[in-house]
Amino acid sequence: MIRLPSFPVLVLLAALAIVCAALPWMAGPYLVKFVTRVLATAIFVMSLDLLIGVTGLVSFGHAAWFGLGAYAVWFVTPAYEAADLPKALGAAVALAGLGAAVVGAFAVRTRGFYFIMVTLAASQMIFALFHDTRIAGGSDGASIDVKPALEIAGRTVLDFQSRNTLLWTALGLTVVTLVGLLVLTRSRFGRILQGLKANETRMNALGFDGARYKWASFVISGMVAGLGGAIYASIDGFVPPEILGWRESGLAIMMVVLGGVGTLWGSIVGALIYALAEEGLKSAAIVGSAVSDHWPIAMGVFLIAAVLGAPKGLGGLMPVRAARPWAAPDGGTAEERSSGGGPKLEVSGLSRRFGGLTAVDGVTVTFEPNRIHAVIGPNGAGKTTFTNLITGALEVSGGTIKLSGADITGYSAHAKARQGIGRSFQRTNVLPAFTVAENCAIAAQARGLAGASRADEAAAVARALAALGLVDRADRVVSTLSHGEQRQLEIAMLIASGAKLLMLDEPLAGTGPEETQRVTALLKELARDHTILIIEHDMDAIFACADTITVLVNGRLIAHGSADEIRRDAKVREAYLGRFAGVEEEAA
Amino acid sequence: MSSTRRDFLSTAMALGALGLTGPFVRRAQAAGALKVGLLLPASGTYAPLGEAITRGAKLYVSQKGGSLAGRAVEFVALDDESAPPKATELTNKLVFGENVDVLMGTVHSGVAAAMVKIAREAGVTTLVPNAGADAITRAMCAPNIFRTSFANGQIGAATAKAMLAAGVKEAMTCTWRYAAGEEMVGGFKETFEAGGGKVTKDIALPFPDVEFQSALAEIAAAKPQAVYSFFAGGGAAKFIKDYAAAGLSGAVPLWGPGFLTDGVEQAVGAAGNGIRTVLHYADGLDNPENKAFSATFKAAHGIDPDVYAVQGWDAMQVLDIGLAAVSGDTAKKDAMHAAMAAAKFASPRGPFEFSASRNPKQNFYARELKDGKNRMTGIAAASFADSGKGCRA
Amino acid sequence: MDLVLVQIFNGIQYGFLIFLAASGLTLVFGILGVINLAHGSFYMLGAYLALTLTQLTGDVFLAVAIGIPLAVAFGAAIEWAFVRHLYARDHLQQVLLTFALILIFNEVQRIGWGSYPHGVPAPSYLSGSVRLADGLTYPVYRLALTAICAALAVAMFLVIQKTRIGRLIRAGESNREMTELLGFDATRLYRLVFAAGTALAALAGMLAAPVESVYPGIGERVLIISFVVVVIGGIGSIRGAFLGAIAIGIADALGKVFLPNLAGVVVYALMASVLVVRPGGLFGRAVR
Repeated sequence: MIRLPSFPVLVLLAALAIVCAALPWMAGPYLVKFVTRVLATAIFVMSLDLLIGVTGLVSFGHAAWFGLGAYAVWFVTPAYEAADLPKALGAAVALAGLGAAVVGAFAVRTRGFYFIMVTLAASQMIFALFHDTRIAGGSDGASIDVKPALEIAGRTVLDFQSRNTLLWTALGLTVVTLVGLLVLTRSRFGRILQGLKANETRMNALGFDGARYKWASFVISGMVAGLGGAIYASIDGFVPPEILGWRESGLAIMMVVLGGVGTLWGSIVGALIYALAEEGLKSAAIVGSAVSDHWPIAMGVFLIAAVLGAPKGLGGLMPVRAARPWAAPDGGTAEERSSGGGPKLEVSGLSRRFGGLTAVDGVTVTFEPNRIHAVIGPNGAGKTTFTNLITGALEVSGGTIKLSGADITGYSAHAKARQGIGRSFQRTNVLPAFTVAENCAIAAQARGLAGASRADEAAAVARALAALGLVDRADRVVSTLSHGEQRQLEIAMLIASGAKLLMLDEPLAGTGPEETQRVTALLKELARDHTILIIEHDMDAIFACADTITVLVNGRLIAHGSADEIRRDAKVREAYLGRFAGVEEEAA
Repeated sequence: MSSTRRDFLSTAMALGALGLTGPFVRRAQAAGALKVGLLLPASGTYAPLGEAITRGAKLYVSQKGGSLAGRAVEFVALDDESAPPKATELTNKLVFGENVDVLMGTVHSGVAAAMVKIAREAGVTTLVPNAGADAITRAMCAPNIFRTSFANGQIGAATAKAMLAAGVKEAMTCTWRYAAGEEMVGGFKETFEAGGGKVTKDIALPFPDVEFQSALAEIAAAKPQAVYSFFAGGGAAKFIKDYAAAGLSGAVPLWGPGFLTDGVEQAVGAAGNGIRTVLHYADGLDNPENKAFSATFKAAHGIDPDVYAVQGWDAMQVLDIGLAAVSGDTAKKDAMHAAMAAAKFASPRGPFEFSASRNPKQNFYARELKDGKNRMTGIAAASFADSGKGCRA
Repeated sequence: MDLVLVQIFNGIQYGFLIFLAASGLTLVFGILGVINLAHGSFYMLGAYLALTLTQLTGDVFLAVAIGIPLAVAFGAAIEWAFVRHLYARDHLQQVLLTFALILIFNEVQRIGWGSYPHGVPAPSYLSGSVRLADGLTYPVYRLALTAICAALAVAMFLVIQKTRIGRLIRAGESNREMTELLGFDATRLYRLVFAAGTALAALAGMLAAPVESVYPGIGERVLIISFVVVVIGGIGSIRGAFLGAIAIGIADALGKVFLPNLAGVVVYALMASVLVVRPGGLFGRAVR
């Protein structure tokens, strides 16, 4: 979970702000303009950190929104007159937001390298539009004759023609942006964004529509970038198309990294560091003309050193504020009112084909509510594929899935999760950057279609932690947990999320006898008001706790029944030749 | 631990801030020296132009013994790379960082537009030795801004006159899609069509693209009576060579403002023969000032001067006149500017004076490029001024 | 109609050239898993190499013959010194580190050759134009260029499909970890692939020098187009890169004729359309 800035950082930021505010009395117009430019860039870079550091989306075209914001000011400025300041800022935010909304709808459907490429291409298109056509001055750039001003009742209250006014306004907006983004990031909405960055699969499986949240983040960050652009345009009254280009986007990413990805305040410092570095390296007086004549080489070396030497940026060097410890809510962890118990799961003719290979072939089976059902079979039998079809991770090729009578066959993963299906994975999928309690809180947030209230959420978290015995480890960050503890956490999350159909993929893999006992006892307890499906290979455990066993071989269902029935089934024995020998002797 | 870190960081910041304010601290100027800031391209397609202008300006000053009106001249040059995005930053540096007394620049019209904006606000004496952006001596004119070259529309109009006089009735245009290209074509079209001519197609490439293949294919397919084209510097050289390589040199006559052929005569060689241009300068112009200027320039640099060198030379001459009027006291800005605006002298290009909007009122010569020289074939327009439409100062 | 025909020729020629550059990029990204933003710089350095070597030898093909081994050596050196530290790092860091490389390479080019645009003459036996139709001539060198690139494309296809090295490359592209676990020396394979990628980009730059001017900034244009080709064709697929490059070449050329003001946008619109239908590119894996 992203933390608020620690005290030393706050001191640093305050010092910078004071120097900034006092600048007009300390330095000349060149420095004032320089710092104003840094502030405009800082707002831009902070918006990018929201995207990269908080949501985990690396965009290589973010400068397009910065540029659109700048051009928007030109668009609304009449000839030889000042534009109305709120109108100018509003237009900037609106135009940038509109662009981001359109491109974002497209981009968030891609991931990784493709996302980088789509954002790069989009910004290049916008650049080509502004550079090659003459809608806004083309390659010469757009000139704003008179900078925006704010008039109230006939009196000019704020005039960007005055460079000091612009400086102070920019400073104010930077502070507002930082505070606003920190509040947003630490809100329940922001928590989901961080979750998406941590593990998108898990977030989808909990029921959050990842694409929608990513899009929202994209649009918000675009709008903030536009605000930065509006300030930039007002500094010299000149907007060149190059500020839309990929070089600017690349430099912005650099500044995010220099300051510390995900810190938000780091972006301000990163922008400042880069600007000072560029100014310094270009100045023969400081570094000598041998370096300043060829400053891009020095800059390249500096950037490489910074990325390799301090990959966490300045944020990594500064102390981090400690997290607030989790505390059980007042009133104890009252038993949840039973909401009816587990659902019935009916699968009919379910199939999945991958090209020529049929992984799941016409499986028809009914899983009764409030029971533990085991799905077993040799490796490659299609068990995980079967699970993926039910949870929506894979699309169905044929057949239907009904949950409590409702047909959910075509639902997406997060829609199915919303219906109350929760799953655990063969390789545990939890949210690495968060603590145990935070993981459960996010899971609880997905409850129901409207999301849980804070009180419900707190109660659900407390209950889940108690059920899995994780209360004493509530504040541990996931990366410090053992593998077994992470698996416990995954189940705790499912409980917290209020899922009623639990699909557990090898929950006992690699557990010792003591833990196996504990987990099977827990499963029996949960079965009282959940329906549980487990895929497992640990036969002793299965025979000890499963109410029914379903056997899949080569994608087909060859047997379904109670433990005794399965033990005696000839087909099953044939499939597992010799495997049941020890068990049979014991039972006999 | 954390308080030590805090101390270290704040000290580091303080030291860093001190060190890096170096370039921003106002430097005490050498007593009496006149600082002239040069904002010209030293790289990119227009670098040869920047170099020629600098040579012309410096030559004038050195001919005067290194001082004008008793003030020693100190040049500070920055490379604008013909890149409008850099314009504001660099202009700020010269005007506010270096505190120049006189600002001289630039070549690219887009860069100039940005530069002039700041120059107007700051009130610094500004000489424009090339950029033809119409606005500089029209809507954006100011008492402290003087141009010693031309206005894009002005030279486009003069070229149209020459083409009409030569019997051209139909033409295609081809240029870069930026302020200068548009204005050159716009000025040309206005006069050409008013004189009964017809423009059949306008071709424009993004600046500074030099992939001319598609454009030449279009021209070859349409086969107009003539082509009016504006390019300059490296781009002009390539265009002329590609034009010849496409077999168009003989088939479709190529016309343009003289920037198409000035400074690139050697680079294009025989490919340039027969290109007709209009410019306010021509090689071997027969007047005493030009003879003296050419000889001096050739002695100093080994090559003949071109129009850009003349523009640089004349800029310093105008400044000299202004300084002389106030005996070198640049504090008397208004008087200096008034003297400069009223300047009237014999330049290597012929008689030189300013129009009301501080743009040159001058002769435009028709020329033909042959064997590496732009020879004058006549006068296209005499004592021709730009309209100065919209200038309110 | 003549104009459209000439433009299509131009488009195909441009497409072939881009294919050379893009194939290097798709190999590096597909097999090494490295996003190399400096790929365009290799193209640019190739062009400048051609400039200097042609001035020395008088013939651009001779320059190419000398230049290729130089480019291969250079690519191997860059891989050893720098790129191999990127394999373990995430996309963000790769992007930033190779971005920094671009800054350095651009300045090296300026120190070495300055910023004037330069022309490289086509060899005399390939200069001049051929008459295609009445009033329509097409430069001989461009035809030759297309032929050369086509031959290289066929050669590349044969190497990838028919040789053992090619098989190794296809295996590595399909599952890098597995190839390593099977015991193949990843170090040498990666160095070879990166050097080949560099050489392909440099070769494209060298061959293109006589038709385009050589000036700073040509590298970046090629870089972005190469990425678009790779996205359209699918990461790691040479076949995809080929189809993508030709499609882009023709789209770009036709765009210049029918939508001259928006020609720059056409290429990206094409990429967007492909991604809507096939999010992994024409021949790429479904999800990355």
